[in-house]
Amino acid sequence: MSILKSGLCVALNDEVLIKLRSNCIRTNVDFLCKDPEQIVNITGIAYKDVISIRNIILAKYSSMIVDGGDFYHSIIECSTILSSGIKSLDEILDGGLYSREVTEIAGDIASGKTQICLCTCGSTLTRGIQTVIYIDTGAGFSARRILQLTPNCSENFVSRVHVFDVTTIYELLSVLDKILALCKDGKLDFYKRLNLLILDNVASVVYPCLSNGNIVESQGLISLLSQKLKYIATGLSVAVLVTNNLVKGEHGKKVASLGRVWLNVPNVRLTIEQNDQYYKTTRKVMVTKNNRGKIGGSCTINFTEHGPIQ
Amino acid sequence: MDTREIVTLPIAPIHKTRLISAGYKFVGDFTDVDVEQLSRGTGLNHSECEHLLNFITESKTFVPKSRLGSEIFEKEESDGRIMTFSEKLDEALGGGMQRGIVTEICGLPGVGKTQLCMQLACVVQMPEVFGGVEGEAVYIETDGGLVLERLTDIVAATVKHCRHIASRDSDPDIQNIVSSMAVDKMLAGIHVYSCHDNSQLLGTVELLPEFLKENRKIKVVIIDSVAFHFRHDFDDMSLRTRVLTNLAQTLIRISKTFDVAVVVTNQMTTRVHQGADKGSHIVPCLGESWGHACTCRVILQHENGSRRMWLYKSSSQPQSYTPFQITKEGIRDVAACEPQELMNQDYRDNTETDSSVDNPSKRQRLV
Repeated sequence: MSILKSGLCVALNDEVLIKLRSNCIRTNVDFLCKDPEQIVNITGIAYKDVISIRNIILAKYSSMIVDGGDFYHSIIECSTILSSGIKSLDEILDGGLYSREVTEIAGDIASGKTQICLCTCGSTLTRGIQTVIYIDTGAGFSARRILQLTPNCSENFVSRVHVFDVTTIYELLSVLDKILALCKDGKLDFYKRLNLLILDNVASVVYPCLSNGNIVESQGLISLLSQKLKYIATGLSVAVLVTNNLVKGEHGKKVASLGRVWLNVPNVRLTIEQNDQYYKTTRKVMVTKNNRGKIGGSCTINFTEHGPIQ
Repeated sequence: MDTREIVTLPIAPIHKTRLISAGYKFVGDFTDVDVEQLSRGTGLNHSECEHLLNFITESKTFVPKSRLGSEIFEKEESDGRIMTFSEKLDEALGGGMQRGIVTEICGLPGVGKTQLCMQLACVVQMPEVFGGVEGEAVYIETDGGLVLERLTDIVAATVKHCRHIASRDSDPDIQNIVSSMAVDKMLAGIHVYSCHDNSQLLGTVELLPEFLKENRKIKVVIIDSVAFHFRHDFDDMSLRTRVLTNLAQTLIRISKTFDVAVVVTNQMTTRVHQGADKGSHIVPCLGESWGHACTCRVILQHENGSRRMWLYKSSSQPQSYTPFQITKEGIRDVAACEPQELMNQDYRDNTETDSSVDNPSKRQRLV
């Protein structure tokens, strides 16, 4: 939590602040951790003031209580299911990508991760007035390919996708922050209609900071990143789609990369199975994690030059 | 942007720890904080604090740039790509080497990786009237593979080719352009860096933006080969992965910022399978994470005595096999009518002169 500042409430003036600081109470957390009577004793601030500061901090930073029924209705109202544009994939996903969820596609090199992203992007653009944010870390975005993959998609539609080119995790985090700020602000139509956020590919920005001797830093960044993605998904009712690499895990079995912390982050994980005969357009996709439905469902997607075969 | 966490900023970890233990957690906590105050709170000296404060204030106003999908579409449609002089290869690649992405060329020794690179360094300088992009090239060589005699051959063939086309045209402008083309001039348009170890290579790439800023004519950056210095001297494989993925991200940033095509070559290695499926495969070097990082990957192969390009990974083009050949003049299409001849062909023995112009199927496309 943040540092204590004057102006938070009337009782917390500069004089009080100096007294608190001289007793090593610098942040809100420091303040809350201490017993109010103890604070009175060591700083000599009036008990009434300490209690009022405490109440204001609690009111400002704690979350609101919502009853289950209301929560359910509010979620039902603002949730949408976005079609991925591939019928068989929608079927194994129980309709498609759900807003408020993080969906991950994990696959090998050239397994079609970006193709699924572009396809989902195109299919979302052609329905209604929804907008899409595409965060591209590997320069894989191709508007031409979206038009090829999506029937009835014209140049006008692709103007509703904003592409952010990001090459480091720090840039990625600042982009996510900016998106959050603009969405909360609610002034721009684009951000009001935001329905889908695609992050392709999450691993390539995280790898450079992984295991650089400072495990706290790299794991910290991964958890911050996942916290932000989750917050965008749930707080803004946006469907989040990320792609990830596959690495050899225990017993030579392929698992999604970025370690165990990350494994928990996506609500739904699709794994594109390894295909020894690479020169084929078909890929087998399997649901390997699903928080709300069945796992183990699989489908075969055939990527042709003019879109997936339905 | 006051709610941005300090941890998410690219600051030295030691400074982060100091700031956090002093109670600064968000960018907003620094409003109205002066150097003196910060220094007292964190125990860092004044110059460090000043630096930190400046950096944090800057990050507050940072606005990430985004592009509209339609802008990208227009750019994709109108952008001049860099041709390879083989129409079929260009077709498979969607019109040539794309700018703004990193393309990786893999292949066994002698299959023509360097030849293709030299061809690109040369074609990028072709005038616009001949379908070129009128650029210059940066050529970072690591393994001493850039043979100048060979490069001169290809440059001379390109100049000759342009003259040949121009001779059929009476437009004075084209005549002027052609007469200004010269082998020396084209060689001068290729800026060569030689890197003898991996730190030199990393340093060169790190400093490349400065060079590109001053030389805006550069349209292609070639690294031949990126794998050479990374195949040895690394005991710690995770360090190698980190360095390489970082290099890949830097290259992507360079290609986007300066709108250049980045072309890197990679070698091949044998991967032995374990478990049930015994045997081995020849796969590109540098591991899986590197393979994910490049936007486009092509593998050059020998197949029944001739050469072919396998477009392995591309976000906009389907996977494909395309035959090509290497002649004295450089990379050319394989003519469909002479498969038998090709079987025994060696590029040094091919003395056919300027076949690319005489035979229509070998002629490169004009825009």
